[in-house]
Amino acid sequence: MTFLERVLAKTSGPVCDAASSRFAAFVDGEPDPVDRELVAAHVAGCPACREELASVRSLIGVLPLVAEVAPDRAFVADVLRQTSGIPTTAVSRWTETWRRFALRPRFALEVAYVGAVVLCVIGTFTDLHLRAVPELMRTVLSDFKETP
Amino acid sequence: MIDLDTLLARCRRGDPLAWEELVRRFQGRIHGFALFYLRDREEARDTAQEIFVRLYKHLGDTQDGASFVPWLLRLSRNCCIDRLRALGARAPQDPMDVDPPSHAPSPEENLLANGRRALLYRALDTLSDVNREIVLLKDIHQLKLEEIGSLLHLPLGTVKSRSNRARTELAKAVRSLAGATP
Repeated sequence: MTFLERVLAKTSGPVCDAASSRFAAFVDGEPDPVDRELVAAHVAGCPACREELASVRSLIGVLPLVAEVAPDRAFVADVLRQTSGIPTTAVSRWTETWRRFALRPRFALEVAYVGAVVLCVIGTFTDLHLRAVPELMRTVLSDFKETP
Repeated sequence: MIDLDTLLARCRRGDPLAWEELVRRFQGRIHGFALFYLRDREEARDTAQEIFVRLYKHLGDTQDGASFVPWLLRLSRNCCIDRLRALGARAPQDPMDVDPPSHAPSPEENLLANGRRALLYRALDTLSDVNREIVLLKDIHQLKLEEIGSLLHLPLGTVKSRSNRARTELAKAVRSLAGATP
């Protein structure tokens, strides 16, 4: 064990973790010159960290190469086939969205529901006496029964 | 090569050749992105197609060339997450089952093709989900820290510290797996 290692062992403990946490920034070109110099000085005297730094540097150089994975040759043709005829302008997209919305099987039920809610709201807040409707129906029915 | 701003402007005007060029230019990247999430070639292919269909429908909303890639990756990530949810908690395929790029490979790519890519994928699997995504977005797709923060809804400081940690962890995992592999 070197003198420095003995001193560190009795004071702060090993500093490799602290150095290691700055390797990625160091490889990116850490803007803080003091940090750069501290990491460089540590690495110069620590073979394990030197190896780890080389590994991080090599990895960061290789990673962008895995970004692209070419699909099969038919991919572009398949995408072009799927996108042909799809509207791209805002108006045509809006029209297409409403057309699909109206073609759903539940659309008629939803329209009826909304209509009923609107009638109830109107009946509550206006002079439309919807509550008189059942009474009116009874009158009509009794007139109908009494008719010979 | 036509610059991205011009290509996007032509696509927005409805030029089918410009659209074809855009798909050609980004197919490898988007397919690779989907493969990273889905780990299944068929699923990745279908999802990449779905991403391009969504892109086509939203060509009018596309950004300028500089912010297009982050926007496209956000769209792609949403598509991949939707697909993963639809698939449920299905075990991913062996990451070995991945094709190398089809263009002429460089020596580094040859190295990747010879099992290094699979090793890298295995090493990435040892990271937490967030750290893995940060490596994907920062180191593989070269997004800026601010863009990653916005995409993952994380503060800039968190992205920076996690990125540093993730890279170091990944380097250790690669070394350890490379040492374990004969």
